[in-house]
Amino acid sequence: MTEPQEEDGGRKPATPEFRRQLQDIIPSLRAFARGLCGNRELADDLAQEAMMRAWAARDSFEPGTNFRAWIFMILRNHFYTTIRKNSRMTSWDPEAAERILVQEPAQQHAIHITDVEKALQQLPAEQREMLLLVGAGGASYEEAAEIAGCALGTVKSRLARGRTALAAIINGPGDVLETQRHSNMTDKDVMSTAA
Amino acid sequence: MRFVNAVDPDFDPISAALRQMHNGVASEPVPDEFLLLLDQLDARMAEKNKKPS
Repeated sequence: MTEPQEEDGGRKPATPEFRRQLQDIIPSLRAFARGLCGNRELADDLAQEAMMRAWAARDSFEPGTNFRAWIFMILRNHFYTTIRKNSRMTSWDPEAAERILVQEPAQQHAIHITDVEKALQQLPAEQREMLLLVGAGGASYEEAAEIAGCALGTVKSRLARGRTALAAIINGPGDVLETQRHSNMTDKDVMSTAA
Repeated sequence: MRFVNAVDPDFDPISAALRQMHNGVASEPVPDEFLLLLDQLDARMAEKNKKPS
């Protein structure tokens, strides 16, 4: 799958199926954008821009292929282009990030969503996007690799490093071993597949 | 607050937090501007289809 060209050629009308997919993807597109930039308003701008670019480039989408991966790729590429021009995109939005407490049913293992959101914004963007795609959005390694344009091993490496770094930011370095236990990778795996 | 798994050793609070963060946004009502954008795109296409070739 290739990144679409930014043009509104309008050579053929959008099909009802394309229109439906565009509408259906809005919630997860907003969630991905929010996680990437950490700011509600900017995230919605990103998501709308991605929708417009997808619409303009609809000719390059092959029906039957992964629409989510295609439009997520548009969004993340636009995000990286934008943050190079605008430092605001890396800011964390405290207004949007107060609220929820994540709790395991037995009420024994609670962490604040706000802590995770803040910690995510401190990670390198390539680790953050993997945590958002796979950890938050439920994408497969293959889908994440397609979106980010990288190898499977790179996805796993960034994911493992991101999880370790996230736990270290939230809990301090002492939590690394516990976090690695939940990761699918060992230190050896990480070293052997490091990007 | 530390991640302490006293009850369920398989519970991963990071994964749970990430999922809940995603689901929290995804379950928000879609803002009107997104629906307006879709309407505008529809209108743009309809306009193009009207133009004589």
